[in-house]
Amino acid sequence: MKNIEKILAILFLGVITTAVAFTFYNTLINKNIVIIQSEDSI
Amino acid sequence: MNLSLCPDAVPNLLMVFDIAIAPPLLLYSYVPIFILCVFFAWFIAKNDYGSIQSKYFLGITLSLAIWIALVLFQWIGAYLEVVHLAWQLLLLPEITIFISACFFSFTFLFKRDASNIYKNFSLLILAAVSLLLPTQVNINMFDLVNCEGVVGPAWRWIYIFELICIVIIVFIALRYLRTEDGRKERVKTVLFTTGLTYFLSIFWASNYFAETTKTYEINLIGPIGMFLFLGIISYMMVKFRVFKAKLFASQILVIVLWGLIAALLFIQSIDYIHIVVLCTLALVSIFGLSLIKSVKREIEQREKIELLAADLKIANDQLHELDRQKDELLGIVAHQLAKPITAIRWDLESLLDGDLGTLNEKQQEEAKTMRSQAVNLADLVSMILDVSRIQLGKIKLEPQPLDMNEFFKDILDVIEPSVKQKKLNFVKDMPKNLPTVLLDKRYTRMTIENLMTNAVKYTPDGGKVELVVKVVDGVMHGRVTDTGCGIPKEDQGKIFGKMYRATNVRNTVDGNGFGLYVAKGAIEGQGGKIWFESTEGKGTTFFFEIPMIEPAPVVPKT
Repeated sequence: MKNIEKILAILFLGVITTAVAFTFYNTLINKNIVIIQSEDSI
Repeated sequence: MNLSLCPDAVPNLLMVFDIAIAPPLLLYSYVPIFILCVFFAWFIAKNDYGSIQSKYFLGITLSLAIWIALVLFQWIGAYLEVVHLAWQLLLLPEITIFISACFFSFTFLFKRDASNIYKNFSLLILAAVSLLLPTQVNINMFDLVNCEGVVGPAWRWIYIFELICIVIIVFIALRYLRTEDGRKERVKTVLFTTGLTYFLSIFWASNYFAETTKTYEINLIGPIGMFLFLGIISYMMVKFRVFKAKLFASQILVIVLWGLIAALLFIQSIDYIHIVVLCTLALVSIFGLSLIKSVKREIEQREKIELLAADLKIANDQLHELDRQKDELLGIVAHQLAKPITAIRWDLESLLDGDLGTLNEKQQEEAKTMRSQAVNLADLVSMILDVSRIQLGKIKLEPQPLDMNEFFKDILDVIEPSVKQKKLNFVKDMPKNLPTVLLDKRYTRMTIENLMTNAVKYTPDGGKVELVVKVVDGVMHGRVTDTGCGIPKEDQGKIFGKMYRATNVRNTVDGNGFGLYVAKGAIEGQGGKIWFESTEGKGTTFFFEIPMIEPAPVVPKT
C-alpha cells in the first residue's frame, strides 16, 4: 500500500514537473502565444 | 533566445525589468514581503529542520515568494514571452499556498502529519492544474497593448477552490477546539487560525477583485496580510515555543523595518527621501542589533533555568523513589528481626522461671539484664515497623472496645516510677467515669504514652506535668503540658518529622526521633489531630483530639 502511495506521489510530481517544463518551452522557445490588441478583446 | 519587447518597454533593471513602468507602490508592497518570506523559510528550515509543520510552513512561504516573483514579472517584465510565462505559471504557486496552508493548519494544531491519502489527493489536484498551465483554459490570450494576460475560465474554479481551502482551515480549527480544553492551547489555536485565515482572505480578495474589476492595483495590498500572519507566527514562537526556533520576534522586527525602509528608496517622487531613509536605516540597524542581543540573552537564560528545573524534578523523583524503597526495606528488616527477638525473650523468661534448671544469683542478674535489653530491642523494632507502615500508608487499625479508665491507669502506672524519681508535680484532670469506646488500643496507647514519657523526660527535676482529658460530643480532647525545655521556634515546623529531634535536646537527652512521628501518624490514622504550643525554656503543651465510637450494647442471651 505504501509503495503504491509513493509511486503515485512520484507520478504526480513527474506530471507537474513535465507540465511546468513544457510551459517554459511552449512560451519561451516555441512562442505559442495567442496575441491580441486591446481593441480586439471583447 | 530571441524575445520580443512589450510596446514602449525598455529593460533597465537586471536586463528583464522596466522599472519605469512600475506603479509607485509596487516594490514597496512586494519587495519586503518577498525578503521576509525567503528569510522566514530559510530560518525555519535551518532551526526546525525535519519537523513536519515546518515543512508545510516552508511550503507556504516559498510558494508566496515564487508568487511574488512572478507577479513582479507581470508588472514590470519587459519581454512579452516572459510576462506571458509569468501569467501562465502563477496558477501553480497560488493554489500551493492554499493547499500548504490547510496541511500546515492540521499539523500545527494536531501535532501529527496528515494521512497519505490527503497528500496524494493534493498532488493530484496540483498535477491536474499543472496540465492546464500551457492551455488557454488558464491564460486565454495575451493583450499586447497593455502587455498582460487575459485569464481563462480555470481561474473562476481556482477562486472557488481557494475559498473552500479557507473553510477547511476554519473547520480544522473548530474540530481541534472541540477536543482541547487547555486555555493556552485554545488561545494558540484562535490566534493561529485568525492569522492564517486573515492572510489568506486578504490575499484571495485582492486577487479576485483585481481580476474581476481589471483594477490590478488592488493586487498590491494582497501580500500585506502576510505581515500580520508572520508577525503572529513570530509572536507564537517566542510565547508558545512553536517551531524549535528562538529570538525570532526581534529579528523579524529588524528585517521588516529594514525591508520597508529600503523599499522606500524605490519611491522616486518624494524629494530627499533617500537621506531620510538612510538615516532611519542606520538607526534601525543599531537598535535592532542590540534588541536581538538582549532577547537572545534573555531566552538563553530562560532555557538554562528550565533545563535546571527539569533536572531538579528528575532528581527529586529519584529521591522519593529511593526513600520509598528505603522504608520498604526498613519494614522488611524490622519484620524479620521481630521473630527472633520474641523467641529470645521467651527463652529468657523460661530461664528466669527456672524451667531450664535453677540459676544462681549471678546468673539470674545477668539473665534479667538480657531480658531488659531484649524488651528494649523489641520496642525499637516495633517502633521501626510502625514508622515504616505510616510512611508507606499501610497503617492497619483494629478498633476494639476499650475501657478508658483502665487504659489511662495502665499508662500512668508505666510513667509513675519516672515521675517519682524526678520528683515531678504530676496533675491529672479527667472525668471519674470515662466511657468504654471503640479504639485501636495499640496506636492510641502509643500516642498518649509517647506524649507522657516525652513530657516527663524533658522536664527537669521538680517540674510540673499535667494531663487533662475531656470527652465532648463523642470526641476525646486531651492535653499534656510540661514545664520542660520547650521546642526552639526554628524547630517547631519540623518536630513531627521522622527522626527529627529538637536542637536543644539533641545532644543532652537520649531519644530516636520516632515518637512524635508515630504519634502523629497514629492519631491521624484514626481520624484525629494533634498540635502543640511551645516556648523555649518554659515548656510545651501537646493537644490531641480522637473521635470515639461507643460499641453497640451486648444483648444478653435469653
